[in-house]
Amino acid sequence: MSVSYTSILWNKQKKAYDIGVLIFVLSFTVLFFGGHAVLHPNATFETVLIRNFGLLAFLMLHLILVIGPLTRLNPKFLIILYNRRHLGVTMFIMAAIHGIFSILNFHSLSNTNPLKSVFLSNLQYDSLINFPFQVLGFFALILLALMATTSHDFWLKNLGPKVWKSLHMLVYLAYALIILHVVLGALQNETSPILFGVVLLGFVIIASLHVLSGLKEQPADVAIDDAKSDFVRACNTSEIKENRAKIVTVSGERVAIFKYNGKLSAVNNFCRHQGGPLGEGKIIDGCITCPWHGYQYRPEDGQSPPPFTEKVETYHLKLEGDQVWIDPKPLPEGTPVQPVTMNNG
Amino acid sequence: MDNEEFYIGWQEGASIGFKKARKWFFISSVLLLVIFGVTYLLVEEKFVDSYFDYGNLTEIQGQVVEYPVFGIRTEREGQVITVPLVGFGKFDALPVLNELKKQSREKKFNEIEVTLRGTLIYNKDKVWMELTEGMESILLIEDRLFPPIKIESVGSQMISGEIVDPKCFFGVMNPAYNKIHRSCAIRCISGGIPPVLAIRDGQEFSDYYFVTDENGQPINEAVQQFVGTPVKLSGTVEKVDDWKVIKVSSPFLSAVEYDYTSEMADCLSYK
Repeated sequence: MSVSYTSILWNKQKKAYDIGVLIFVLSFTVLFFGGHAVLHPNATFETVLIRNFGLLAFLMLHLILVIGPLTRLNPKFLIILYNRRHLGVTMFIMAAIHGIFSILNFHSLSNTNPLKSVFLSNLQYDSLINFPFQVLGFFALILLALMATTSHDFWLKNLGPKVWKSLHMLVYLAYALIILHVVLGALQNETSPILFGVVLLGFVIIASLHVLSGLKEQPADVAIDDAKSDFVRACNTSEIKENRAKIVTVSGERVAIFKYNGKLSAVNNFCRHQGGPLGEGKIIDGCITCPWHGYQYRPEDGQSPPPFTEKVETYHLKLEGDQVWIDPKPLPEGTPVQPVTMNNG
Repeated sequence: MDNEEFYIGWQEGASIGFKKARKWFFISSVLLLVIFGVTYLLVEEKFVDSYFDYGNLTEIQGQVVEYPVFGIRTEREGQVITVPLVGFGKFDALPVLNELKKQSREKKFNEIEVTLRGTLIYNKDKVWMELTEGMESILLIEDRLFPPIKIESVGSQMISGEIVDPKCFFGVMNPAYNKIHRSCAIRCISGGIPPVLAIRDGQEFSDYYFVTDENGQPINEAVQQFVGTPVKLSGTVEKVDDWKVIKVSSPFLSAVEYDYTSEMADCLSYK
């Protein structure tokens, strides 16, 4: 968390993360080039290079896509999520090397502009099996480029968290395009069913983890209010751990009700940084701390402590015995609300 | 007091539980990476035994031929072979052929011997040469009378195979066949490189035919849409030195029935 923009705020954890990514890339590249030198000496350098970086990007995309649901299933993986964008940018660089070399190798030094050639060489757009698979990879690369270039907090701030999040959800479209690119392209040259099986397994793992994490979150999405109600019962105070929250859904929005120092406060669950789940965060130094990237908000007014300026909606609460009631109507972002004090606090 | 671990990425340190998760994720990822990499290396399709002598220029002396394609007829290990000639990039070498015609003046190609310099492309017993330096590839033209070239007619045949761009196929790229190479092959053939029908014998390619029209003329434009896919061609076959030619009987291509006898996905024919 930083007041001004810097390219990367390095710390020990971030360095450890990036060293891990570097080891990942280097070890695969050494294995792949070395393996080809021994097992496939006839393969040309360009072919090995294109395949190496294509496969690396493909593998890294799978890792990126499993981190989100893994974190929902086990919060210990938040340490992987925090710097996920580093993995994303590295994956884009791998994909860009693959794409640029492919275009140079297959389309340059010809009678047509290389970029035009990508679209106009194979014209069997009406055939599934003969579809020009390079076009699919090209569009996937454009999406990855969009996400990589806007991954910095500068763009997050200027685009707004919802637009930014929507833009970065395009990773799923990119994944679909890449799967088709691989199945209609590289796999067509291979006779072993094992490689097809590996692609299928990757898809099954990603889909399963997303379904499992969705099922885990589903109970919090059941709305507890109806359109006419003022205060609705949210939960029992004993259901909320100290310095933690319970997430409920009112008026179509997830709301996090925090318990801290014998008090209760409710704020919108959507972190203004990247849309992280504030209700899965913790009160640290008197502030709600987002589990994704550590953005902080004061529970009593939903405002980030100065000099930060992020704000979330707040909600009125009331206590009847040990039952917590919430007014489903959100108050404007950053509106101070007197915390509810628990008698046995 | 809440002692539950919580992770904040902008802090210097992380608690042990999170560090363990990071270690587990990292080790699992590298392990998966190694397993995938080794599996890929073991199961990926074998590469054709071919070579592009990139960076080295070789001189070849012999007779210039125009049929079945522009090439230089020379001796290699006691055998007369034709080394087809292609240009730099995805282009034919016809500008060099035109220059040779100009420089040889009134003489026919069987009355002169030329020395050309270029980059060799090998594939088993087939040799091609890229005239990398363009016009500078022509080193020497001398008088010498060659006997006429014998063209042997083999008769009408129907042959199943794949139309490839020979420059890439015989060594510049590897692999250079099937759908993955189609776009590049289309560019090469559209640039004038003569199309070749490559025939598979099981897993390996074993025989090759230049594809021309019924008069032995280039047919590059018509074959483009069928490059990189399995085809069945019918036509008259000829043998010229170490090369075969299939002269298809009509310039019109049309799809016919699926060829159940081959592993091919679709089957096309010259009618």
